[in-house]
Amino acid sequence: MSEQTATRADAGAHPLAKRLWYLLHDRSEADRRLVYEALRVRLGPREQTANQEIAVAALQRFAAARRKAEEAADPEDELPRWATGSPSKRHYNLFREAQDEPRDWPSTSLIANAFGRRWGDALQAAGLASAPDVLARRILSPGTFSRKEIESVLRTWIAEVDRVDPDRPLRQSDFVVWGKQQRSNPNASCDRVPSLPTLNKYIGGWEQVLGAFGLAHRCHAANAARFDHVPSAQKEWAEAAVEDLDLASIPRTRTGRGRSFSLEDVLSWIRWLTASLGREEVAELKMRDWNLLRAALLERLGEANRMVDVPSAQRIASHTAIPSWAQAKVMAGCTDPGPETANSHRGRFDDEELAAALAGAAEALGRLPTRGEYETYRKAELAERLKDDPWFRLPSEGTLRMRLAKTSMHWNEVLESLVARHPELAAGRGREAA
Amino acid sequence: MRSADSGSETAQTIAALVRDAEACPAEAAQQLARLLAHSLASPSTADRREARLGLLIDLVSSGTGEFVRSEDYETERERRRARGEEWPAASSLSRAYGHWLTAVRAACRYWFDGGQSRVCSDHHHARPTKSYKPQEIRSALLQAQAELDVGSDGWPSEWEFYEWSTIKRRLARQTGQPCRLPGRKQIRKAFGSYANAVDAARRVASG
Repeated sequence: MSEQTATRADAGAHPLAKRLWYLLHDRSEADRRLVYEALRVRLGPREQTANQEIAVAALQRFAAARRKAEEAADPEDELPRWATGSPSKRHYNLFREAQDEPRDWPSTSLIANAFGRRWGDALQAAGLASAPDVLARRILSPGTFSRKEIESVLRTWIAEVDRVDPDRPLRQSDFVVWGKQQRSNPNASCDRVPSLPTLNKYIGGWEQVLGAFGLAHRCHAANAARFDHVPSAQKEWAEAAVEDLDLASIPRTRTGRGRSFSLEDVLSWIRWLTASLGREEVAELKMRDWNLLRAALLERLGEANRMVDVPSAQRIASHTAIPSWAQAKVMAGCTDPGPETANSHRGRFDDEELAAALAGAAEALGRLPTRGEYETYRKAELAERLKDDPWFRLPSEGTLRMRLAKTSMHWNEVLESLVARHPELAAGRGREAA
Repeated sequence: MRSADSGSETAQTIAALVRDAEACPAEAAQQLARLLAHSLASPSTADRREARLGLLIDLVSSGTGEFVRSEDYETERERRRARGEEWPAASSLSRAYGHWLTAVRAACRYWFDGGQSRVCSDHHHARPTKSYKPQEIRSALLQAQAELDVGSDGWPSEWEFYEWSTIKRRLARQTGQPCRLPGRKQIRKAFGSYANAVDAARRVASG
């Protein structure tokens, strides 16, 4: 704690003030007022003008009379009105009028005027009220984290993990759990623990965080542990494949926190893998295989304490310039476009797209297509159009039946739906039926 | 508002501690005084709600299920005054909540639904007001900067600004003065965020 405290950018509150405040802030108003009054007396009054002194003396006598009346009153008796509630102007006037010689007491106007026509300020000067101090909370503010403080916290956590098992993977989720425990433990070794966004702001991603301590390999070990459930044969394949990779020519992409992968970054990773593993093997890679390879690669890089950010398959597929995982491979030149690389992106077809696809097929054929004809048309169209436009897509006949045939999934229902939207195609339908 | 009682033993011990200059350094005393002053001058929403609706909630909770009339409330209020308790008049409640029925409904909601029903200490904020112009919001920020004395380069934090504006509105309401200071929603609608509003005010301040 001492090191952490020393590295604070802004050590605000005095420890005693802070401790006493936490004891008092939830207590009753009477408790807080009692302590405040003791502090006010101790810290002494400010310099006052003659009128202010008169006003303060009158208010303090008024407050003393209120206290006396309250103490002297029997439970059966009713308190005088001026002794109840807050010491307002009205109550002061009632009290003044109840005196033998009201003129001996300063009026509310005199009192308020002595303090710039503010009754509240007069009450504050007499210790009967306190002034709001919005900036007081700044005293308790621990200030922003510094990189030094964050590193100190991380060092404490790593030391605690190492004490149990020096080879244990350093997981982000474990750090979060530890942070929660620290916050709820009054005897914790750290005053405060930075959140993950704070770590990211000051240092970077989790790999960079551990890399700053030369422990990147323990992050990758944690990453690899996520694939424990994968069959060992696949893991062996990934490890063997990584052994064959040429690490000297690894792409230099995306550096610095907060930067996203550019399209060229992403494609360069796929191309690099293609150069090492071969076009056929990469063409067959599924997202899960890519992530398996990535984990094995990061582990190998971590052992050499090399900080390289390799995009995951999800990150590649969700890139704004890439329609899908299959299309990413097409764009990197690993596979050729075709029906199997289309449509796996951009979610649900809308009704207009469905109708337009059928209408396009009908136009190309000169009549309404049968199921088989539509599929032949779709394959040919995709093979042609995907060369120029990686975002091009056409619904399959299965999608059309699912979406347009409301009851039986029969192709005829699909065609009826199309004719309802495009009556001009009804003639074509008649010919097909004939 | 309930009558004040003397402090607890804990508070008396702390008061004795802070009186002792050797036990409590001046810096700690000043900081604690500032924190306590603000907490006393700016009671929480729950404190304000209790001070205003407390008696009505008592009547609702101990009642027979019948509607609490303002006359019944006033009778009970007079009875409590004899015991040294001070509660707002029925007319004050009607003014704070817009109508006596609304005040009773608020007390019932709080008693039967609890904190989840988010019962406010008054309904002043719910009254229709003219929408805020961006220049009004910028002026309010500049006013807060000047009044809070955070320096010409400093700006109050979001919490500080809202706390300051809440106190200003409450004081103005007590004295019957008009007060137009924007809240969270108005700032968000005009500038998107508090940070953007501060940037706009900073540009005005720097000419």
